[in-house]
Amino acid sequence: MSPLLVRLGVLVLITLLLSLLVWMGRRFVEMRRRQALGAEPLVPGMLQDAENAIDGIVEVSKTGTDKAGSDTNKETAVRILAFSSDDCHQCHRLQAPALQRVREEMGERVTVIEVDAPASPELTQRYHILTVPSTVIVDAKGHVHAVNYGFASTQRLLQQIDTVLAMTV
Amino acid sequence: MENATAAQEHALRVDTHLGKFSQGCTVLLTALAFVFNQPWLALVTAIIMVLSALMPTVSPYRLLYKWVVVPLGLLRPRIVEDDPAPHRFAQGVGAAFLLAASILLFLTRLTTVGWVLDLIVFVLAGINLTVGFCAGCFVYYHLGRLGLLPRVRYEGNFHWRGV
Repeated sequence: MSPLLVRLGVLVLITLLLSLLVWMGRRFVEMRRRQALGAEPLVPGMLQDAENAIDGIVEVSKTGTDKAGSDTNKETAVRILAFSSDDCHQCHRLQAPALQRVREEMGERVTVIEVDAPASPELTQRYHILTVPSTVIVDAKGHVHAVNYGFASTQRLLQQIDTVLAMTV
Repeated sequence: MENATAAQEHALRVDTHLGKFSQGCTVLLTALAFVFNQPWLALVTAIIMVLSALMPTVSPYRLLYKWVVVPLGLLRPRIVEDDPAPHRFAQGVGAAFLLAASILLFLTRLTTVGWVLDLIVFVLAGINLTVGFCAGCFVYYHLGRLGLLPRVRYEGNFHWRGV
């Protein structure tokens, strides 16, 4: 067999193995996403209870002062749970500014709840969080509508919020 | 409203189609170098990636994209929020692998190791192209966690932050 064919065969084999790994990885992530989408609704007060139990949750409204479970948040149509950690470079450099832009765009209709993932194992397990940053879009009734593993851009978040708002109108 | 506009202006942005084009070219060049046993092609790819990492404005990938691919309508720029620094770091890592491969292929008898390094770049660029997982960016963020990161910020050239 010529060396050219051998090399071509090696390349094809590598490509096939890679495709298999990619397929398996995608299936795994989709499975986790489906599980997260099927999570029990986030009932009012749960975050407040969680806040009492978990130090890692800080809710930031447009003014950056409200806490989870306050009266203002009961009127919020959409909540974004933003999972991050102190040492997550991408969370602070990309995701936080994107969430800030979402807040500026949507105003009081959206509340962002920042969750320190390592300090909040209950919530990370509940939403099957695989990485930080991750964002979970929750409607007023606490149902999960979207789960983004990794950085979610402003545009993507706004589209997901629009979908939730359109369903609730 | 002014704040929102200012925030939009300060958002970090990347042309993802340029990134995909670069990754596609890297996959093609590293594959051709291996299949046809042409170490010079690996060296050329290494030089292109060094330029892309250090001087993105004169990167052959970018020039080809800007002056040929976009005018012909083969691809259109797709600007999204992202940090360019990790991507440049990833290209630097790829360049280092290919430079090491070239040295081994040209100057030693360890050609198998050289081709393995070439294929590692092929695989990682292929994963980034197909899945969007950037292994170099992953390393970049983890080095940042460990405090070992050369803190670079894209402003048209390398910029050492905090110095």
